[in-house]
Amino acid sequence: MTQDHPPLTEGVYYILLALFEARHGYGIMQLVEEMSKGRVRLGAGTIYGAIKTLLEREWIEALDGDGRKKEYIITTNGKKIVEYEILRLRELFDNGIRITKGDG
Amino acid sequence: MHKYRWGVNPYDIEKWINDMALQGWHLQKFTWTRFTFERGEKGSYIYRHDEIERLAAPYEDDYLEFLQAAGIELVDRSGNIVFFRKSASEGPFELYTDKKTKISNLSKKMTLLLSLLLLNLVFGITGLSGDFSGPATDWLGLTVNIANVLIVLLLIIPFFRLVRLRKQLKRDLDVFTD
Repeated sequence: MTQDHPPLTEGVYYILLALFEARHGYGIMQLVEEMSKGRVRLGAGTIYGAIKTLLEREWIEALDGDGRKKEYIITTNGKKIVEYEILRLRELFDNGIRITKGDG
Repeated sequence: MHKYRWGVNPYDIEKWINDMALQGWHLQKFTWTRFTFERGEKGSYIYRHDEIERLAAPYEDDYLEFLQAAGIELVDRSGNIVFFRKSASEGPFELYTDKKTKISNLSKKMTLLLSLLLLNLVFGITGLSGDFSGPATDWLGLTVNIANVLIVLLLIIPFFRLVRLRKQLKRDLDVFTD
């Protein structure tokens, strides 16, 4: 990919959005399903794999809680990535609307 | 109830275990070839397999807790294959919803199968030609080498089914995002 900010997968995009507030894995799973009105149902293995990759990239971080379940939250870097993705999605959306509905 | 099955392609095994569950037989424990089922309600659980990269590696506690919170139970583990189940009343259940993880799991499996295949093929062929080269036939060698060739024949179909499955997933990725 030659772009500076390659497109995120739908799963990663939603996981990052879910982590604007601290959540554990299951919390992410529930919120993503709710936000997408049941369309995006991420598998537990997929979420866990994504969490590990996002931690490595420092787009999210684990909170040192005393609770049993580990919680995660998005980092400043992660927020930047989401902003770029929103711009990209807007470009796709605008071009789509412009071409399919004239200048709409 | 015990059943015996040649467990090479985990996707085939998973389908079979889910078919058994629909008939009211629920997986309790398993080894590579032996599967133990117990009687239960028909179709009350959905079963999914997972593969752990290293044979002896345990699951991380975090992951198991996460699965538990999501209502997913660990059924049994044998080698690097693990079976999980979730109550069917809670809707569809998949451990992996992204194609990339599926593709990379398939690739690992294919590498393993291919190396077993080639190893047996080489030993089988070179062995067979050696067994008849001496003045007397080496019966022990012959038996071992015929077994080598049989293993090759047993592995070849599962291997090509995995190839086909991976190809299909890759083709989807050309058009659709993960």
